[in-house]
Amino acid sequence: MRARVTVVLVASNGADFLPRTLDALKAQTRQPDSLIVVDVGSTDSTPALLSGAMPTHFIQASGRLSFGTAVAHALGVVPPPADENEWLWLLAHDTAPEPDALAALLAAVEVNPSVAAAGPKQMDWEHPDYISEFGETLTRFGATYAMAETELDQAQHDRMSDVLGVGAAGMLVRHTVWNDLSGFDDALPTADNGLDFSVRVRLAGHRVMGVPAARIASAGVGLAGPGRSEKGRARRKRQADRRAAQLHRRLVYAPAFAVVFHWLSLVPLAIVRSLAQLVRKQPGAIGGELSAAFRTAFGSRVTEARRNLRAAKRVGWNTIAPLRIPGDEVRRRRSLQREIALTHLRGEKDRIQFIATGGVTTVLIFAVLGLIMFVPLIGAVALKGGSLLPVSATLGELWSHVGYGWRDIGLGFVGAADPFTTVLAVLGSITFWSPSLAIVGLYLAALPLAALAAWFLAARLTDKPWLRAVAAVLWTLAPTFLASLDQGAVGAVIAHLLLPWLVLAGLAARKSWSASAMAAILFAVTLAGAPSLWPALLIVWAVSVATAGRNVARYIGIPIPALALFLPLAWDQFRAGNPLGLLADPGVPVVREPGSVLALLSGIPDSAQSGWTGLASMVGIDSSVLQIVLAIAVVPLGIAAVLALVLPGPSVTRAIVAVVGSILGLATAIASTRISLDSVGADPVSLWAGPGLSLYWLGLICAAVVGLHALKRFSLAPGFLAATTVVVVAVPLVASTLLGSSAIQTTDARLLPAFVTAEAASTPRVGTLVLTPQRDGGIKSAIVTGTGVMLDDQSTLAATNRDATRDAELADLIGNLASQSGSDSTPRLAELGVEFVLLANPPAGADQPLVTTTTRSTAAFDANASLTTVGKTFAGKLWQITGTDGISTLPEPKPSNLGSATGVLVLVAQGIVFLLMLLLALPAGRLQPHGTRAVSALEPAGASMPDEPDVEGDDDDGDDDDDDEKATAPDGQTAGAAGARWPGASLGRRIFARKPRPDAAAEAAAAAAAASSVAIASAPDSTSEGSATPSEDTSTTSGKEAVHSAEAEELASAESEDGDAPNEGAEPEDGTAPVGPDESTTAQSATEAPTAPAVEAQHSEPTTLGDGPAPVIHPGEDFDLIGAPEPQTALVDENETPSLADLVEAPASTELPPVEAEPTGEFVESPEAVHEERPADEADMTSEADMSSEGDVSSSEAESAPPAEQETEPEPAADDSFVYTPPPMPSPSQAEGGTDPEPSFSHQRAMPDDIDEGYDPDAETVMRVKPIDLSHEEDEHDGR
Amino acid sequence: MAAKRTVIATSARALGAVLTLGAGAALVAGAVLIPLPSHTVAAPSVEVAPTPLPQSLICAGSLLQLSNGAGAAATTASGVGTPKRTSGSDDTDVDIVQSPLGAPDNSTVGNATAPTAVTAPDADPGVLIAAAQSVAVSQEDVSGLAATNCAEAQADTWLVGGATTVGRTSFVLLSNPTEVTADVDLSFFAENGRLDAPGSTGITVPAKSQRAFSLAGFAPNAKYPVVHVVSTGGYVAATLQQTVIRGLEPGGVELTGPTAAPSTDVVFAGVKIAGTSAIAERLSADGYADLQAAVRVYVPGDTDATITVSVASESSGSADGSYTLSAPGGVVSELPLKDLPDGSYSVTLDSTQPIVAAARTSVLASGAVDFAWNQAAAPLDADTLVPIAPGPSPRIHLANSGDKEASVTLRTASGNEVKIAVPAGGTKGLDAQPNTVYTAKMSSAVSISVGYSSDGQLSGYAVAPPSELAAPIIVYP
Repeated sequence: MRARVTVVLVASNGADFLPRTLDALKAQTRQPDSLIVVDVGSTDSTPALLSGAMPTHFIQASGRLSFGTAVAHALGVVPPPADENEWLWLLAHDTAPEPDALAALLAAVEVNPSVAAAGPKQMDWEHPDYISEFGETLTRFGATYAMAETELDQAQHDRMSDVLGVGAAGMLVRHTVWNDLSGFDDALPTADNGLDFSVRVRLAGHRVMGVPAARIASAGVGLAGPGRSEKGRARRKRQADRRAAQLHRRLVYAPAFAVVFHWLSLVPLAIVRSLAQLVRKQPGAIGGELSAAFRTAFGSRVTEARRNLRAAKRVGWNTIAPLRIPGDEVRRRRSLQREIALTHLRGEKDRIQFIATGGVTTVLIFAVLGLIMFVPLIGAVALKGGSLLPVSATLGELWSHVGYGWRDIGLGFVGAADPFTTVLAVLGSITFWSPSLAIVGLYLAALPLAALAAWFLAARLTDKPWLRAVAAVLWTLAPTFLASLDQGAVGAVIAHLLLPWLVLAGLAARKSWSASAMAAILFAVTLAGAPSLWPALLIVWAVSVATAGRNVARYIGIPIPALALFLPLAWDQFRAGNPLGLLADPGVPVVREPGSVLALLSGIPDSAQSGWTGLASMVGIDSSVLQIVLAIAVVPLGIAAVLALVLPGPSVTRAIVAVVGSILGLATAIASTRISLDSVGADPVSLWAGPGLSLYWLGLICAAVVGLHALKRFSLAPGFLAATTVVVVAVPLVASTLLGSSAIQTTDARLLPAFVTAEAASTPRVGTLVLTPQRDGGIKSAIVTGTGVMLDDQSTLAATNRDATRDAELADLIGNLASQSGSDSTPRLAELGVEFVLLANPPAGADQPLVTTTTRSTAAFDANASLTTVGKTFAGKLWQITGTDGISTLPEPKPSNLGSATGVLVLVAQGIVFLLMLLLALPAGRLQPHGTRAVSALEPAGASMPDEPDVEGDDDDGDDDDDDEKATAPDGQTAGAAGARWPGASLGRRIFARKPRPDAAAEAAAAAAAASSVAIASAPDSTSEGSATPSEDTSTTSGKEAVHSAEAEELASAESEDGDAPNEGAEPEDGTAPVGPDESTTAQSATEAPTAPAVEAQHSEPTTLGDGPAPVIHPGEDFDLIGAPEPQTALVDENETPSLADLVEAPASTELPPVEAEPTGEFVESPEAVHEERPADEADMTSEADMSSEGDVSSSEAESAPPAEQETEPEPAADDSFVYTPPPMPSPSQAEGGTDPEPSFSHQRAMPDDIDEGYDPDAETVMRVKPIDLSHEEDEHDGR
Repeated sequence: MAAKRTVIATSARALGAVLTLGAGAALVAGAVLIPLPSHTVAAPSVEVAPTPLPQSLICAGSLLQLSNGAGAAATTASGVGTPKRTSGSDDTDVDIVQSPLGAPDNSTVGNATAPTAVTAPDADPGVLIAAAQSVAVSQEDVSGLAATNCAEAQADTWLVGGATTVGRTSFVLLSNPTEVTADVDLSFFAENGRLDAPGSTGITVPAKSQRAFSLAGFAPNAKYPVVHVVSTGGYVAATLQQTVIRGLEPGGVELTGPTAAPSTDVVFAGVKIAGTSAIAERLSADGYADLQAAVRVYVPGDTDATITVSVASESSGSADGSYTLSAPGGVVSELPLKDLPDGSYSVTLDSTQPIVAAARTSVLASGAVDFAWNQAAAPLDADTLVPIAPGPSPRIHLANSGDKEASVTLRTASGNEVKIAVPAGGTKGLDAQPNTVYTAKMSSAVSISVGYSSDGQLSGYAVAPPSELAAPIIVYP
């Protein structure tokens, strides 16, 4: 009985695609019986085109209907099906079937009456030799799993028959079944619509099959299925849709009792998965993740879908269980990809050649120098002096000073902590048993750390080992760095240590989320240490954002952690009307005479001229002469930097960037000397110019390295000259700690006299009034709690803002206390909590007013009956207030940072921001195929920094990014889709895919030789590719041939030298299975087996043309473009660059799919999967592994297991080298040939070209690995 | 096409390089040439004027002599003479209370002769009080006039005067009016430099009492002693008493208050030169050398000081001339004031090093000899009380060491007013009413002292500013 086929063609603004679709429909060898077209709200010429096709019915829908709904509408106009032989063929405007597609589909369903839905093999729209989709299944946990995605069609799926699901596009479905099942689920507009329908078909007791012989070209615009657009927004939406579809199906498929639990788990799970997405460097997926959860939880019509499902369900869930993809296969596939990633990693790591090019030596030398320089600090538990003080003694105390709460300085107040406190807390946590030790450690390690940072930054700019070393020397012995160390400006030291890393991370952020997050964290820490860099770094950031192009997302968020850290303080400062106060240096305010502009130009931040002033005055050199001499010392470095600007060539661009950064730094430094936000006694405290100069110096060094690099072999002398002069400038500072002229000194962490410390042991909140006479005869006061103010107690908020009322009161008390006065201050002081008065010792050689004030104060205290002299101490003379009864203590430090709602909010918000950033920054993605960006986040580039001038300059980066974007698309599916757009895009990639061809040819040749007699007979048939004639040609070949073919297989695999391991393992099994003592030696098996030789026969023709690894030309395919010789030569070309060779070869051997000896178009009918329990489908999925013999002709729907199943029955557990050999995922995405003649594909650049003069390690590390969408599997919930 | 692109790219780079270099140069040039704005937060300072303490002045009490004036072995001191005090306030309603302090070292002390604290306990803060005392004795071994200002107790004072050579007896009187015990460290300097004086540190002066120490015990046989008094705990008012006997002839008596702290500018007002011819006759005689008017100078540092001495006489009113002397560092020396005719002078010392100094003059008339120590008088620019103790021919001396004319108004409690102009660098004097307290208002700083003289009697005292300890102080909270 002749089947009746109704085509339902849904179109929506598809004028670009429709003509081809309609033509293809007209060209069908088996014409459909009626054509219903649905125009869904088109605004272009679609309606006209549709009506031009003379449809049986033309339906126009105005709204935005989904494909499924549109089909349902269409079917409203036709009479209900009269019998089972009425079929619906669902097409969208972008699905153009090949002429014999309908015929092939019908042929398949006619011989398999139990089949209710059949899907064609969806090919790429423009590159018909690439499969874009063919067959879908579910994992054990209900995630969608595409059985084929974007791979070169090498007939590897052509044995596929029974599948769990097929895509909606081109689906041939029995009209009665469609009606019984109420069509597609409305809640699944695109993603999983076909799969869900197929599952329900299966559950209704029918079969679903993929028909490889039926091929339709699909453009993937997203009408019938999820689409394959590569645009970021579409990609993210698709990702969200897929997730929503999965969640929806989970709720629909779940047993009734579990629905509630699933529903409850939706949102929490989405949050957890969002974090996981961060770790996987896919922050863009988070929105979709959450929206999918909420959409499903509150917007999905689950009840209706469940009713539908229940209504049509005839068989149990266990019947489809064998069709699911087993978990271990999924895992295996993933681990394979990991392995590939690792292989690449290993290839990458040595590129910078840290050891070989002297990096280790440099760092070690500076480690030794650092130890020598800070010998006096070895063994110290804490440091003080300059801006330094010990930090709190316990970790708990240290962390309690973070965030928003009581600032325990002076009389205390509630406000925001300095962000630097957080840095101190983290630092102190490293040496948790004695947090102050971390600062000692920082000093001891400062030099090697600086050298390390500079070395890696230089490694990105040059491959000359000695130039890297020069950069490390210049950076480590930078006068500003040494001066900061000398002055105890820890914040500036940290900023200096981090700036090179910040630059590296910032550069890498263009391509890597991980680097972006790392840059964000470094940005925050640097600014916490040196807030004066805010303006400069913001400008740099703004420029980065402005020039980031499509990577803007990775730059825009970089200041977020810094903002989170500074926001509370900023709020407080704004409220205090002192926004400039944000820039104040953290740490103890210290009066330093800022250097002149000339000194700043020499990189020297203070007027002490890096210790030269003292030396010079000894020799009798005038200060101004000295300044000029020191400035001259920096001239070679400056000339090298300017050289970079003047030398012609591509390096100018980066030199400009470096010099502009340097100018920003200098401007910051100059501005720093003009701004004072605080004062110590009578003296204003200007901002420390160190951080600005660090930036200035960094820019100079980068520019100089670029300039020297451009000088090529003439660069040695100027480079060493620049380094030497700077080293000479640094000498006094290097020696200052040894000589004791440094401001820092070791301390036992005791800041107050022992008497007070002892008192503080019992009364922790005891207050001490510390008075310091000033030069002008004034007296400075500070109230100190307990054992003393620590570094983490310091607050720029307190230092830059004054409470005038309280100040006045305190001043009055102190003025009277230090005088012969009629009012006794002691009762009020005692009331405030002050029990001790400490008068600092006057420094030697102090001015007369200072001495007078000291004497006067001493006399006044002595004469005060309420004050008892305790005695002279190391810190000064100490008195105790004894005359008043009931000494109070200073107010308790409440609220702590956790003690108020604001405080908790601040901590939680900052914690979340940093946690997310850390998750994003974690290099966890490195082992995931598409997370490889993370690998290179901070990894400077390799030794292959080209000396040859860059061909394209920086312009290339844009292209680069594009490639990268696609290659590492966050979503497996998308990446698959991405791959789909490339098929054929680059010849290189094809070459890649083709690379193992020699093996294939060998195998094929062997197989052909073994079965030549049969081959001749069946060749003609098999060449007629695509004409899916049901295999009437039950050839006469017997099992013998099968044996032959098996032998051929073995032979082939033996010959294949770098054949895929799994494949090799699989072959013998495949081959021997037919003859094995199986229960399935039925007639069917006999009839099936013979086709294998037939398959081989196809190859026999080409292989006779050449020996051994002769190229295989598939007769039916359009492979002439890439004839074997060309790829070979192309490869040779590319091999000239070793790195490329690595890249090309490693993946090729590891990832390429097993060679398919089968031609695509032969009469492969799947082994019957009538028994749904049978793992026939799995066997099908392994089709890539099957070399030869499964091209069986399924002539009937025999209920008994045909031998083919036995043949191919995989035993994954026993032999994991078999079965799901990874699809050729790398092939589309991996290779990029520079030889691609097709300009329309953006994916042209091969690795070596990537390496411009700023060689980009990221570009090298990115692996073009076709990702698996792990998101579907990670959700370990039973969603069916 | 490609070539064109290359050209464009190269030009863009060159332009970028030029612009960058230009920006850098502009920044540096701008920073050097243009006065950049700056943002400086004023140091949060508060000048605190301490709450004025109700003043407490200590009058030294009677003179002391060892019980047996001629006996070298005598160890117990007894009082000589009865002091006459004058006290007053700028607020007439204030009750001034005089309370005697204990004087354990004076075996014959009584209420009238005891050292006395003069206070105004009920006065509002800021009310000034002043007091002065004078003791005139005429015994066969002690005679002369000793007038002193009643001074505030201080923590750090310098006494310049006295001698412990033959016939010279000197006492250091330490009066502690406070409620706490004062620990006093004394340092002694003389013509040979600093003296090693056992027992001179850690001297305890109990609260509300006066201790007296013979200078000879610490600095025996010192011609030019200088005493530095540092007290911790309570403050002390230190006074130096010197009696001179030459053979059997009493050579005068003097009570000397603190002189100004080491300074490069020292002013003596009212240096009274009298009987120069009679003195000149006697000078050559043994033991009479110290009749010569002289300035005793101690240079605390090691560096020699070059001192310019300027003298102005009251008769001319303006500066008369100056000469330069040098004083060795670390030792005490006396610079004679020679060739001055009789009259009252102001003497100004301008030194290259900080010095402490006092001027000594003598009078010889009708066979009676007396001498006086003039303390350095600090310039005063605020309202000051000038107490005139009972005594012969009291005269107020005003010296202006500034560079512009000062106008001083002196007013008695009863309202009588005298206005007097003191030229720059000059000095003026006017007779005063004994037993009166004048209020002096001045347009600019002048040094004030009070002098008494008659035949065989000479004394004087400088009017001291209120204690340094109560001066305003800048506090940086």
